[in-house]
Amino acid sequence: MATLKEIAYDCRKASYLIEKKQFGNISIKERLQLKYHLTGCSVCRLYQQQSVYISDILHQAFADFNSTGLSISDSDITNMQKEINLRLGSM
Amino acid sequence: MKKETDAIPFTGRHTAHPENWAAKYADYLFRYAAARVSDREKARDLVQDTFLSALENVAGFEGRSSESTWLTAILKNKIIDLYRKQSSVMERHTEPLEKLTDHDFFEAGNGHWNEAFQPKEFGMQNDTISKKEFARILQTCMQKLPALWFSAFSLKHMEGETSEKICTSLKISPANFWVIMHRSKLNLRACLQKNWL
Repeated sequence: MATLKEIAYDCRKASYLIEKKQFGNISIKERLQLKYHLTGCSVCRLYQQQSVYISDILHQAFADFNSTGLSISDSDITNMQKEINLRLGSM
Repeated sequence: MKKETDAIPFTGRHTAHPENWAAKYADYLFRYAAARVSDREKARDLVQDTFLSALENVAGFEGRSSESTWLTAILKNKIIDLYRKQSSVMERHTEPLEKLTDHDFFEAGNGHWNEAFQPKEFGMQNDTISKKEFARILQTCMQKLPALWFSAFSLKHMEGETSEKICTSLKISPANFWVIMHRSKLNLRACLQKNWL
């Protein structure tokens, strides 16, 4: 099968499919190609694992944004409220 | 027969209280923005902007959602606008995407990993401190992405937007979108490998 041969050694294509697959957007043919490639390529297996890990960490960091302890300065808060009040007064 | 107690009495809609907004929501909104734009000045301006837009549209606040949900939605739109602006100013010039981005992760002829960029084990410890540190480096690496990539990548990974919506917002084709997702991840991974190991 020519298509399998094409991807068997192509890590560029495989790593592209690894990204696409994470969002569920690959065809059955692509899925098979990727599976075939990964069977023989430990580097891309590692890539896949790390790629998923990076996505997870990002996702988590964004879900946890409110526990970062960052805060705005008191003077910024006062100024923001002043701006708001100024406009409230003229409404 | 319908029992009256089954119906939860609707105790009225949420109302807007702009006179308390800054004290109540500024920190929350700031954290939300800072996680997405990473530049604190910009994050602060976005919060200020959000309050002012909200005020202009306060008549449209129907109280179906809480004030905080409503303000967050306004902020989110502002962030998407900013992404769009940044990516349209920065690299709309002529460089074709392929050329710009495919440097030497892979060998030209056969698509093998170039040895210098070949993935190596991160050797992650599964504890909270390493995870935090890893996330911090990841943030720094994200800042190195070209603005358009950063925008597309963030919208996908953080906001969970659909690919179609991102393509429309940022005016990119679906094919380019996937190229950007791929190259962004390759770059982030390489940057992590360089700074983590």
